[in-house]
Amino acid sequence: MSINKINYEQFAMDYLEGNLNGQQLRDMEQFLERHPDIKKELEEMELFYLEADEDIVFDQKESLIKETEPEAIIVSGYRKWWLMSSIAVFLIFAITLFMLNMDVDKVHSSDETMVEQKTITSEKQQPSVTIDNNEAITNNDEINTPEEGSNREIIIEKNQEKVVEIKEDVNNDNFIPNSNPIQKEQPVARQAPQSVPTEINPQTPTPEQSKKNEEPVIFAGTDTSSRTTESENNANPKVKHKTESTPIASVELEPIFSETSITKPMEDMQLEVDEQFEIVKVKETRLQKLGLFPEGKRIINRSTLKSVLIPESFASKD
Amino acid sequence: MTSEQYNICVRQFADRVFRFVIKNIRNEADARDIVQQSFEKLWVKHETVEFEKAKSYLFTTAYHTLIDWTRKNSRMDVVEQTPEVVMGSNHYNRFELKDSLNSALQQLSNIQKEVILLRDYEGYSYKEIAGITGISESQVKVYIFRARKNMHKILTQMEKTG
Repeated sequence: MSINKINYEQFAMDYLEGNLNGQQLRDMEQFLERHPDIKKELEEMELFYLEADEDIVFDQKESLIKETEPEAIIVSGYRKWWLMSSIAVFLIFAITLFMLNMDVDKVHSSDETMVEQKTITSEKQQPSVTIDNNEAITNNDEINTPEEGSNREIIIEKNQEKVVEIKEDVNNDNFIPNSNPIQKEQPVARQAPQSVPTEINPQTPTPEQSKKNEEPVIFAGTDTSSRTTESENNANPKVKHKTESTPIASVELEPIFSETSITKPMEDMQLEVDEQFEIVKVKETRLQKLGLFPEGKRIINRSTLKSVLIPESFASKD
Repeated sequence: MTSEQYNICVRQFADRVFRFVIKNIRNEADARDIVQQSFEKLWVKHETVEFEKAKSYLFTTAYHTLIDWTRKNSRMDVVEQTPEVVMGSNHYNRFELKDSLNSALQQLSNIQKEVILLRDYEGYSYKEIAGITGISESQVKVYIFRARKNMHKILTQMEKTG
């Protein structure tokens, strides 16, 4: 753009202030050479600059002040996008963490339930235990005195080693089998071996008979050949082998471990000995009725009882 | 801009806007009204105006309010007084020069007064003044050149007559 008398004013201030350079400075100098009157004017021009008067103040500032309030964060553009994305990621992470914790709690809860159930069975000594399928789970070394007021019947299922049924009596002293049981789990009725000759035990005592005697009883199945497993945690003095067939004998287990308690030698009974059985005390049982034992309580070894319950030996005695 | 930032603008710019306005209209009450209106407009728009641009927004608003006020009050162009102090280039103390400059300023046209005040008082660049006033940058340069040239003439005349 060439500089002339029409437009020179827009370059004059920059020229006076020394802000022109290069081609514009040369053009301005050439213009001033062509117009000496304008050059003289600019050379004589004294630049005055105004200064702000600090004494002049606005004395009504307070009327302009607004009350400050907590305001929402103003975000826009990509900042808003990043903020929303960050919140979304945080929420997803938190929800995932929460769900994982829920799963862990469930596992712990189920484990605790199992432990609690086992604790109940182990802490509260049961006066009577029903064993399915001839499972021998007694261990008199761990037998304790039954807890007062907690006369219970426990059914233990084979190979699962857990309590599937807990039946509690109202009165510990008056044990009534299968009366008002507290069902922790549906009892599993297992079919007893059919090899038990029910006709052999026409007078086999029933749980009701045991109730009359006010003594917990053991109902033992006749098929003792299947007694190959033994539970480790059964500490009940009263064990009942629950079978579909009629029990052939009713005996009471007592925490008597001394062989000296045996009042009658096993040889005299002519019974076989099985190590899986512990000391038992025979009260009024089918064995007595069958004449296998004299009157009164007798202390016999469990192994002898097993032998008694073997159909062949029983039949031979009968 | 938050309300807190708006209040910061009040404390930082109210005096400067007031000086800019009162140098143009020389009416204190009207100058206060213009300042009030300018800040009220800023408050209405404060959520959309960025804090960094609040000063320009304020001076732009004040400038246009000033233009409206000028159109309604033709007395703006009246030369109020004749300078009492004749100014020589290097012979006056600071206070005398200041008064003479203020007197010379009032003899300028409105647009010359406005742009030179924005330039000298607030230090705005030609481009920024163009943005505030809505005129081109070249025109701003022309108005400022003419303003300084006229002030030189006025002050020289004061010196001769004084």
